[in-house]
Amino acid sequence: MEQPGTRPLAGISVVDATDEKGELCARLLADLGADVVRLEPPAGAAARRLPPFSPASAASLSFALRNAGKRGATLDLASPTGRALLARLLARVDVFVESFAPADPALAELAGEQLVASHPRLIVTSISDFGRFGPHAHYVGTELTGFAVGGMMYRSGAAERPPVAAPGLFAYDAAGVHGALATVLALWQRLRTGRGQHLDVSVQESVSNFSDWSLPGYSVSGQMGHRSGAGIYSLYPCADGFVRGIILVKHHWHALLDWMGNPSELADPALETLIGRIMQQKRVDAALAAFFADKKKIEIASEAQRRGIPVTPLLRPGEVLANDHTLARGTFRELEVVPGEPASFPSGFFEIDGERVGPRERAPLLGEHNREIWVERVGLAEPELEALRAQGVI
Amino acid sequence: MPPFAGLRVLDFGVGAVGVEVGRFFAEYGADVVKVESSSAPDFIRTITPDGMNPAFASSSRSKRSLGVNVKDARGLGLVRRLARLADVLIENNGAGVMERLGLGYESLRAENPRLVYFSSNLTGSRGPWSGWIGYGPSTHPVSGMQHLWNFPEDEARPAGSTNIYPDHFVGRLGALAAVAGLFQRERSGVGYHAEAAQFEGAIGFIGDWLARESLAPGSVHPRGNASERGAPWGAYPCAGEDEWCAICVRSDAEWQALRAALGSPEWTARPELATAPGRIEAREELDRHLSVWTRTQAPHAVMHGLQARGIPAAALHHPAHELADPHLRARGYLQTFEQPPLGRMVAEGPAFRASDLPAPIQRAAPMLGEHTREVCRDWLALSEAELDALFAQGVIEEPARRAS
Repeated sequence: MEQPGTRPLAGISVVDATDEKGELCARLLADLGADVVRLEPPAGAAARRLPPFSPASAASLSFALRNAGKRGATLDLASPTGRALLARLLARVDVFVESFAPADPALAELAGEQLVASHPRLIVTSISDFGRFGPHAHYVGTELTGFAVGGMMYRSGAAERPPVAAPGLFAYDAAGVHGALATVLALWQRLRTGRGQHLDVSVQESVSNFSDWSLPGYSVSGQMGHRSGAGIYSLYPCADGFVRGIILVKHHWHALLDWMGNPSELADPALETLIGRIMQQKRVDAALAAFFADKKKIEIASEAQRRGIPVTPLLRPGEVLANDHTLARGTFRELEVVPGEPASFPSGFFEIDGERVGPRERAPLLGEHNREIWVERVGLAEPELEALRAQGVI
Repeated sequence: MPPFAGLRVLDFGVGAVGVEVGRFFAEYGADVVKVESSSAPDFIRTITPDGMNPAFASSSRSKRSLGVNVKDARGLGLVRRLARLADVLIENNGAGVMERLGLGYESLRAENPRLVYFSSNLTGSRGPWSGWIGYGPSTHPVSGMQHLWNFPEDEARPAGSTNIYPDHFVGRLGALAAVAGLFQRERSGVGYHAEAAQFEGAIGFIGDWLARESLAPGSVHPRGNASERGAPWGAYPCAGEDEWCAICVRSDAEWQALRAALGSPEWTARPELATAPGRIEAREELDRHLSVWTRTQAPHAVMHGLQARGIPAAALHHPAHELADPHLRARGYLQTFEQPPLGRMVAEGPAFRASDLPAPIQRAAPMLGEHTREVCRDWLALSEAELDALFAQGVIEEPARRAS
């Protein structure tokens, strides 16, 4: 049983007022032990309306995933009373994460620099589509436009088809992890300086960071890769689907030939190098597809890996949830979407000293911890809380 | 002073995951020593015969390189002495490789309990598929990502991407876990061993869809560019060769704004298109009409024209667009430095600006063994005679010696 306060970021407190952009930021901080309050407008965060949904309760599974392990409180930041209460809350925490839209009137008063000016030890992590300054700072965006302008989309999908989005909230999760990293960096800096600061995280730049060094490559060679589906990392059809093989170096190739019984049609010195195999990819792919045709994908991958050849099976969602490996590792765990409705969610990204470190509890219901936050933490009296509820501020 | 000044990092990264953790520490002031040898170089180096290329330069910039053969007992002894002094060690070799080399966490911790050690490999260090090897693109199929990265009508023909992004993502997770480990050490005096399996990084990105599959088996399929949130929604072809612009209409007001931008053509006038359900129903028809319009314009003309009306739109950037992007320039995102022998290179900067941090340190990536002498002198105070003996024995190497 885990002792409270043993995770590495125990003692760090965070208020997370993001919406769909960057919810993963504070989720990661919570996984690592920070105390995170998810602050939503009284009507609920727009992120609660993001697909996919639970078929039974219609609750957002995106919200459930990206807010697991946080506590929930509500506050109307559009009202002066709400902003005054936020100031009282921020006086008690280390980090404020926000993703206000450029046109949001709250932004003017809650701009990062101003918050840091009034709370000198506070780290304010702002996550926005294009960043908080620059000629496009006022532009609006979505998950898809971030994926596009960050340089990933033009390289995604089959060559003969239009570019295709990655599944999930790729661009916003990319910004979330960069936000979390920037935040711990600023917290580390604060140990020396005693000062907080404002962090301006851009979705566009976060996605660009994930685009395989294509920018430095182009800056030197003037060449860029176009989308090519699986490309040189071929997908081979087999008896029950596909496997992906990345036959990169000589010993991969020789181990593969050995497994195939050194077929004469591949006994060609021209195929000894990666470049040579790419030049004759169709020929190589055809031979491998024939060899795999009567074999099953997991058996192929297991045998290839035993022989030191990097092959992995293309799994469908159900096969990811339940295979020998994910079951043995506890890759997934039951976590409630809403009370009484368990689903299989990823157990978390990290293991520390052999223990899985992931969400401690399900995502909060709207305002589920209002009393804990506003009465016990901030020090409102019960009647004050009731009055603010009646006014719609909480 | 940069936040990580005074920290010592040993970087056994190869490929992307580990090396990008090392780069993060180097950019913010840590002394990051890349440990490699000509018999076991970072494979990204070997893409080009001279051992330097843009991918390697971007991922290993700002570090120092120590050329040492850890398969030699004297080399191993040298590296273990360095590990006694290190604050952070990063590695993403196959499961069990570091242990077999004599550099596993348990054995190093015995001599340096303050060490923060981060490991990452494809399928994790436990479970029947642990020990599997692969590269970034190997994680797409096994995580479910590749199956879903497609158009619904193409489900039987998986497409996906050559991108290695789970590596970049897990590299950020590794940096996060390593910095968190430094916080833990401030409190407890001891470090820890953090791991992140690369396939679980990719799974974490689509965990909501996998949860949906657990609740309604068989219900999760590729979705292409369409969204339940609205229509039109997707990537639209523009003037030029393989140029595109993403456009998303989130609300009825944005639809009216789009109509105005288009000059309210007849095909937009149908009353059922005024609300989201009607537009979603007519998605394919809207895509067809909108594409006719976008094809007449450059992607940035579409982007700026629609953004002026408050509609989310963004060109599909490729590196040429990124280099020319006035916004990225104004934000100081593009990092320019001299990289011998490649010349002037432009690389990705951090994805954030900070009000109270120095600019990230940008120095050329090292040739293999370029700082072998310096590192041995700085960390271990080895004498020139000791160094010469180790060079003569082939235990350590530097570029000039390697050539002879």
